[in-house]
Amino acid sequence: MLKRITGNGRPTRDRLQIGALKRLMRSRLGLRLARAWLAQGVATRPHDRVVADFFLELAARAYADRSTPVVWTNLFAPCELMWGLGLVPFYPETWASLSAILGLSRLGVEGAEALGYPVDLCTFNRAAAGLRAAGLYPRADAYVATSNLCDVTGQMLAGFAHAEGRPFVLLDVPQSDDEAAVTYLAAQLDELVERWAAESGVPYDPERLRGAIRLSNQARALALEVAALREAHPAPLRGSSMLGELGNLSSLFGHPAGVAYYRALRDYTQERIGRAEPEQAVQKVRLYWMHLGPQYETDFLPHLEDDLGAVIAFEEFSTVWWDRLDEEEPTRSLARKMLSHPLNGTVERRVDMALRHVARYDCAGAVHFSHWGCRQSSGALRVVRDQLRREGIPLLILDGDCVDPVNLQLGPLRTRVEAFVEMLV
Amino acid sequence: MIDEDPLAPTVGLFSSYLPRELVYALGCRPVRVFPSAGKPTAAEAFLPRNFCSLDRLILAGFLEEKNAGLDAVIFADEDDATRRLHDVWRASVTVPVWGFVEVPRAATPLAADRYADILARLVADLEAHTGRSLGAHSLRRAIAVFNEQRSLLADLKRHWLAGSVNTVAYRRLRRTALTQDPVTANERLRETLAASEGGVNGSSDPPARRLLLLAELAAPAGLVRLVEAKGAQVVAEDSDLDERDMAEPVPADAGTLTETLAALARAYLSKPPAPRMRDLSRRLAYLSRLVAERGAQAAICAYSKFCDLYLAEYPSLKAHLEGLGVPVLLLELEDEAVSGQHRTRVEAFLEMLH
Repeated sequence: MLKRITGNGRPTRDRLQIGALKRLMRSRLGLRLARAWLAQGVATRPHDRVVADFFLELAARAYADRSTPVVWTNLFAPCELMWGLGLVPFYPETWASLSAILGLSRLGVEGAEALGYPVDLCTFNRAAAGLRAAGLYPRADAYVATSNLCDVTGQMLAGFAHAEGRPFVLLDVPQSDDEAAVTYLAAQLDELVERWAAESGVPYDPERLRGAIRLSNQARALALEVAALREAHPAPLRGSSMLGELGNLSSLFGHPAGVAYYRALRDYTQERIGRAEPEQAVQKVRLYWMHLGPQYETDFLPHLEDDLGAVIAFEEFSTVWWDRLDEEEPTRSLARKMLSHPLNGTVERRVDMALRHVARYDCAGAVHFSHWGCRQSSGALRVVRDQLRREGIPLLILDGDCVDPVNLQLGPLRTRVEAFVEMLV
Repeated sequence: MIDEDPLAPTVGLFSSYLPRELVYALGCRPVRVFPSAGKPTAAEAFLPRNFCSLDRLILAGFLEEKNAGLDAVIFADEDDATRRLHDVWRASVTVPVWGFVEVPRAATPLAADRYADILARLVADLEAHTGRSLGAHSLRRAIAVFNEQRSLLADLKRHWLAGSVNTVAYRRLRRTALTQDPVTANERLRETLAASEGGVNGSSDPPARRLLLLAELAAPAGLVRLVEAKGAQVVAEDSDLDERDMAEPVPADAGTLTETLAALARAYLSKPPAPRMRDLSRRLAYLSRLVAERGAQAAICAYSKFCDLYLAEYPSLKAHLEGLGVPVLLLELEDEAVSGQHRTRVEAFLEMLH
């Protein structure tokens, strides 16, 4: 883990480490070394190895290989479109999350402060801004963001694009999901396809886009199998290991790695069930987890799972919410996918999903991890809590930070979660 | 039209992108929702403490005063905070919601067509609520009333910039225009303009420190008083109260209802862009023009704490304005009051400009 860097007084050792990391990310050899390191410790399960390989390949193409345009985007833009157009998507938020795993997120957060980003903005985005400024992110040829579910990323990407004189496209995503909204959003996607084909130098190949749609559908079918397997008692998977699924949902679909990942995860889950060997041995109470969780190493989740015996049976962001995509109408079906996101629209959609999942996964309660600065997720929690309570489902709201370990108050969190689990058991 | 109807419903609007003409034409009094609470305390049970402080203040006002004089409200899809406020509102405030309008975030023909369709749907909803039906003629009459108001406000701005109307009076009248029925507001504007005729300050010497204020809804009155008391002059305010309120007349002299709605849609999407549009090039170009036209020498961003769209835009805006030689101060405000700490920072900033 890199030593924390503060203000202007960057120690020489840290500068050297950042320099080494920048060179590492931009060389094929460096990425092979990283792959070997991940295989030793972090990515030990088969599906984790698929994801590690995928992100390393993505890194290789984004950092080292200059032959394909790199498009920076947010988590809710359709990745099938990027893969289908032959572009390399880069997700600043996901990579901020990875930086938290590597212990680099403070570097980003502090760097963002020096750039003038106010301290109350989401730390995923602040970390991303700081890491970009430190030169730890790859080049961008263009930027695209959606207007829904996160204000900050789109605004930040617009700012980067403006500063670099690169194209920026905002996909204006309606909150409703009727046919008029589908038509409006699909028209924007069509415009984007035309524009990218004209500006990126990568010719538009309808068959490649259909291929991406096909891969997305295959991955979706496997992901639905995983979701069904997770109904099992005891829960086959350790939920804390699934709290990064949003990064996979937003980038793997439409790429062969998506199929490989969900196939490996399905097989692994089946095997665990078949052997009656759940990842988490002690399971006293099943929980539904809402929003994300800490991405860095912390005692909090092991305490919840191993000491208290609470198992996260399913997570909000593991949901495969969309219908099968139509190869013959790719942009229209991608528009439908975007509009049908359960967190798009009014809070009742989110509550309905929570109620369905709590019932399906036989959960005794729900936990919402409120990431500091995420207004869309935590803004209407009072309504969520009241509606779940009316159905007899207790909701524990935990304030924390997914990226910045400084903002995680471990003591109060442990106390609250202990009381909650005790009440449920 | 409500000229003869004192019982006309008063409808609160949450965005400068919502056409007041349309609400007015259906016999309602459209008013912009301003916060009425001094502190957000009443909202704390419903919204997180790190939620946009402007929205928390607005909600607190309605929780304290029940309906705050409104018969209904219309939301717009402005940002994450407005969407969640809309959720919380329906569960906690007694004032009914007559619409959640998905205002597009572009000024393209595609977006304008979409907005015209959305406005047509809003008309249908409002017709159901009010029991009235909207015709092209009524809408054009309403547009004419608001076009007259825009013309009067433009005159008022000229008087303000020339020094014959002071900043406090100027801002009070702008707020009147947003919060009273337009016929009454226009009358007050005409009276003020008549009274200030001939009183133009002929001095061509620019004041020493000319300030651009930037805010979401409106810069706090206390901040305006403070900076002017310290010898600075506010020469422009990028906010819904002033520069981002639609200033250009809506061209709608003839045409069907559909054509008139399309004209409204185009006009509102083309007004000076707010951060919600994520159109930084257009927004910074507009701010550059404002700085040049008014000779602004410094800028103060008086933003609500936790207001993401504005705060996330801030680094780009700061870099751009500083590139124009305009230093920028950011204040993150919890409520309408200017705290001692903010006062000290403003004073130090203004001193630095000497």
